[in-house]
Amino acid sequence: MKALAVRVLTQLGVAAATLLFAALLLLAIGVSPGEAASAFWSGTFGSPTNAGTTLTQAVPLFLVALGWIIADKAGRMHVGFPGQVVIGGCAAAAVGLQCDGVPTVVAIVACALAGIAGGALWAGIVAWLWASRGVLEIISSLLLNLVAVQMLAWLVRGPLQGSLDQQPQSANFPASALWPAVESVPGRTLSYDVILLPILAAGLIWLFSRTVFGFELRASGGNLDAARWSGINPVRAGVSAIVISGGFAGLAGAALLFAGSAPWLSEGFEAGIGFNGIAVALLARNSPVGAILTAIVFSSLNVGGTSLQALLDVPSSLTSVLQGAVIVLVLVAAMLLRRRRAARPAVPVTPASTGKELVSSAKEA
Amino acid sequence: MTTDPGSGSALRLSGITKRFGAFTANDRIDLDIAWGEVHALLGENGAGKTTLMRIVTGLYQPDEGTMSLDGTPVSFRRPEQALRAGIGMVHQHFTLVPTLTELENLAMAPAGVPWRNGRAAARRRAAEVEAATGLRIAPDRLVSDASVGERQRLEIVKLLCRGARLLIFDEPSAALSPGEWDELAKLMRRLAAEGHAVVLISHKLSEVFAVADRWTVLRGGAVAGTGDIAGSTPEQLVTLMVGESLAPRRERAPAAPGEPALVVRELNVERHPDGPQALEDVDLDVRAGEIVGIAGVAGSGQAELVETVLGIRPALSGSVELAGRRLERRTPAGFYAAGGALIPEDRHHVAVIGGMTLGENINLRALRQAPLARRGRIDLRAARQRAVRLAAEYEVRATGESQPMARLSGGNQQKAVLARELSTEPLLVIAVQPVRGLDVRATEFVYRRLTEHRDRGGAVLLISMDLDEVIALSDRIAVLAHGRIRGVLDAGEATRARIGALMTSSEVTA
Repeated sequence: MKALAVRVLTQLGVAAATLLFAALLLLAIGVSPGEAASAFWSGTFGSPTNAGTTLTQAVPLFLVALGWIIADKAGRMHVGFPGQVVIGGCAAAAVGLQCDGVPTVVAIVACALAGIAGGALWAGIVAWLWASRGVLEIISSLLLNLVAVQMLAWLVRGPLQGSLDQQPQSANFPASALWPAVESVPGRTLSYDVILLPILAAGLIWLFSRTVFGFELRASGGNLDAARWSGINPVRAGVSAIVISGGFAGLAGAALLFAGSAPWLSEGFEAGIGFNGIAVALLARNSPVGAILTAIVFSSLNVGGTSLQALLDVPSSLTSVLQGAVIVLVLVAAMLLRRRRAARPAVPVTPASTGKELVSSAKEA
Repeated sequence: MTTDPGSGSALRLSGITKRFGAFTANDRIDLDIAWGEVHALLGENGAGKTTLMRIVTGLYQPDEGTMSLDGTPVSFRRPEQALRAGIGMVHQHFTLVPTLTELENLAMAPAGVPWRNGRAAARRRAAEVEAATGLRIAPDRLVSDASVGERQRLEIVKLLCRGARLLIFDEPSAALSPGEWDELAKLMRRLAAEGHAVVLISHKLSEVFAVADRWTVLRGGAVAGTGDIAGSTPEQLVTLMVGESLAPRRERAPAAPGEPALVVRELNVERHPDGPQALEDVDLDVRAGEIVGIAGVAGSGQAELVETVLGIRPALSGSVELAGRRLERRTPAGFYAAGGALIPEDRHHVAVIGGMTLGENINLRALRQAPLARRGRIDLRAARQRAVRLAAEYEVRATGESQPMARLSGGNQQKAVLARELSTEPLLVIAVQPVRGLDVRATEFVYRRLTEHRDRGGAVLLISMDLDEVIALSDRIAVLAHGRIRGVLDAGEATRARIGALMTSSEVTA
């Protein structure tokens, strides 16, 4: 109970510190923090339309975060999400552009599957290099991001370029391929794909706690050698985790295109989702449920930043500064909490049984 | 072996108390260590030895009580202060940088000015230490190329170079072969003879009686007794340590060997592509209902034998049969499926997953198959019940099955591993150094469980560097030296002398 109170207080403290920091920044550029706050609120949750945008934009961030969580639990820290989002998006776009006249349900499923397949294949290269050649996944994935970006640049100027003008972007996707939005929200900004947030979070928790596959993933991530010595194939677990993680990122790419505001493939469609998704997962401390919240916080910073720019002429780079401040402050809070926990050893239930624990936990520390 | 009457008191602790929350780790401890003596500090896991030594070396500060060195009161806020005062500790896990040479490790002392090159001074100090104690190091050898015994020697030289006069050894024999231990024992005596004070923390009474002058036993955080080695008996100390007399080891029923459980034939395993083989033409039989011990000094091929049978390491040639079935493509999964179980030597690295719970570690293998898992889905309630039941049955002390494994003490982790490996009713258990680092009571527990397993008709392959352990438990003993089985003895005819003779014999006699 007390621990929970401490945690809540710390998080409130982080929020307060972030607000204070934001207020100081705004004052420094001559904008009233009060006005900015109301502009921010109206831009993010002030109207159903804007709230829909905020929630819809949280989905790709959340999907990437889940990708990070599953790979990290298996001990495979790859950072190939930008590339996997891009390739997943490209694959989904290639399929989506052919979907004119195809029934909506078929088109949606085909695009989503193409996105998943694209991301998973791109991650599969990382997994294969790791499993067969021992190439560190963090390095190969980072470099493959660059390849993916160049591939996208070529695709939007070559095979996938729209025929109407010479812009480096594809033609508009056919209406039948776009993901449906809630009709009652004005502007149809709330895509139905937000139901993925609770469903996938619950699914991932179930996978980790209730399935042999999830258990083997966690065991391999916890201690690769111990997993191998007890009959688990940690290479298979690691490869699966990387590939699934890429699948999530690829789906995020498809969601960006088919549930976003711009229904075409362009060079900058990834918009930093790949790395921000990692931050979302880290801030949620690898909790799928926590990732729902942090993804919404991140997307509201994005959306709110846009409205600040529109209403009060606040530069959009300020939003990035704020995002950075949130990350740093949350990490500081996490560190403070950990130090508190380390300073106060767990109080034993019975002295007889805990003498050993105290000594050994001190030894571990 | 009595205390030199001329030597004065080195370190005196009086009324040292240390509390963690509601738990008292050290309770009014009085301890007197004299120059020129080897003082053994004994106690079960969790008796407070580690905490006390951390106070002495300045890692912890006592809540109550005083320390005095050479009669003057001292208090250390930091480890450097204790070291400067002449108190140094040789840790179980060495504090060396493997990628540097031995001399560079010595030169890593805190320097007065950061840009001073400490090598020349270190070389001079090392020469002085060698002249005084005969401890010779190889200055230009990389630490990663040194053996465990050589690293320990370097660690000792390092402390002596920094002026340590009181040396604390924390279970120094845990990593050493018997030969290296004999060297170390001699060194401790020599250090004491030169007027140093030596504190030896150990679980092994045979070691204590071989080198120590005096002993102090801690139990439950308090001093249970102290006295001279001369005039004390091992039984007396064991009684003090555990607070009750353990039942004497039962006279065991004679083995009733049945079907062969493990059959190894002409196994050849490579160590380095162009060096001697790790295993050469090894033949080994372990039958149901018997314990076969493998005696040999560390590095004779034990690790390779285990890894090859388990399926982690490829063999050049030879066959491994388990339960009458030849293991063709050896994998750990295949080994376990055929009825094998393994208690590995290196608990931290290959046996437990510190970040997972006690329950998950106990169920690490059972959880992945029926009845706990069906079609890939885990029955969480059944898994928890099984973990709780086994934790109780194997006397694992924890706050619950959901406690993280890393929070458990070494002895309790080992009991959890034992629970995991023996609970599946395996045909064959391979136990490698199963009681390493455990206290008297936990050791007795492990021995009892292994013997019970054998009495139920299971086969046990016991691999240990501790000859007494092998002799006490085994029905047959295979002697392994330089990768070859030098001979197989029945328990009745096995004596230390005969085994020793086989270990040193240069040609195959089996």
